[in-house]
Amino acid sequence: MSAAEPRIYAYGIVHLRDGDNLASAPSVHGVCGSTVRALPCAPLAALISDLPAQAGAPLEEVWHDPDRIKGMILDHHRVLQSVADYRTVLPLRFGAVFSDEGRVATALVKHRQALWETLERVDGAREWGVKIFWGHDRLQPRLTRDSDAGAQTQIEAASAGRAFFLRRQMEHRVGQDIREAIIGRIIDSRRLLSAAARATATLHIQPPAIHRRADEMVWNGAYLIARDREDGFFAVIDTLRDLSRPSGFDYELNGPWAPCSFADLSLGGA
Amino acid sequence: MRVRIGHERHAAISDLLDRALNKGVVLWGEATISLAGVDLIYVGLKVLVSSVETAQQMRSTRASDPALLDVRGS
Repeated sequence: MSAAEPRIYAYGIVHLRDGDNLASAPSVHGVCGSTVRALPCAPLAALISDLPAQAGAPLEEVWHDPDRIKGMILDHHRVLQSVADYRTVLPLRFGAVFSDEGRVATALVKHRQALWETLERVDGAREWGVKIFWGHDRLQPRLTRDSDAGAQTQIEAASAGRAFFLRRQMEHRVGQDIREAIIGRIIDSRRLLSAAARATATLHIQPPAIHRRADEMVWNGAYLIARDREDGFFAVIDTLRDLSRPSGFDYELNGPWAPCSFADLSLGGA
Repeated sequence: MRVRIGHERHAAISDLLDRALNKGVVLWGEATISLAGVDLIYVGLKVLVSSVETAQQMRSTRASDPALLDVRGS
């Protein structure tokens, strides 16, 4: 495809309801400064914009340029966020490009049922992310101290060889206690958070180079929360945070997001 | 690098990339022929590496609050 050909970029799908004023689509700009508009295709509408030619550069070149593609990803995100602020939007994965509006409409008609059902599942709700972190400096010394009580006396009374063996045994036991404490905390947290959510999704644990915290990420999840139940969800997190802080656990909340992690559909185009 | 997306709640750009590139409905148009052969995960990693490097460079020059990037405004 040459850069001169018209291209349409699609961001997400919304319900087309009676009395909707979709003409006033998002106030933020779309990819590369484009204007976002709604393409009605009852009972749905697609949020789209033109995809401007990048100063004549072929699209393939843009995809490989981290700076330009980063700008486009942020534009994509901004549009979805601005819509999610006031209505439910089913987010499309970044990079849905069509040659013209007719092709977008055809795709909507073709997949109307699946899109409608998925949109219904997330209707009136937003996605929130919760990460659980564990700090070595709190739980480990406490468990080591508890294990020490009897074992330390034995180690001191033992021969050098036996003391080495007992010390290794104690370290192993502490390690096991730590793993069990972490797993128990994750299970309890997931149970309480899930009870306050319409749906949950598991996300990848991030390494320290990504999350950039001194403590260790032990859980990363996404929660679909009805707008009128968000306060209850936050209260659960506050409670978990207060209960778990003495053991070295911390909870990080992020969002709200458009319900990306709950829009798990792979559909062909037109 | 952190992205401000709400009052007192922050998400890293890695969270944003994960959602934009790995989540959401996949609705490929025929024109996404332009994307053929482009691995979005690879694109995301390149963006992430570029963002982390930028954040590190800015930190090293002691810029104030370099990691914050407001994505709510236009």
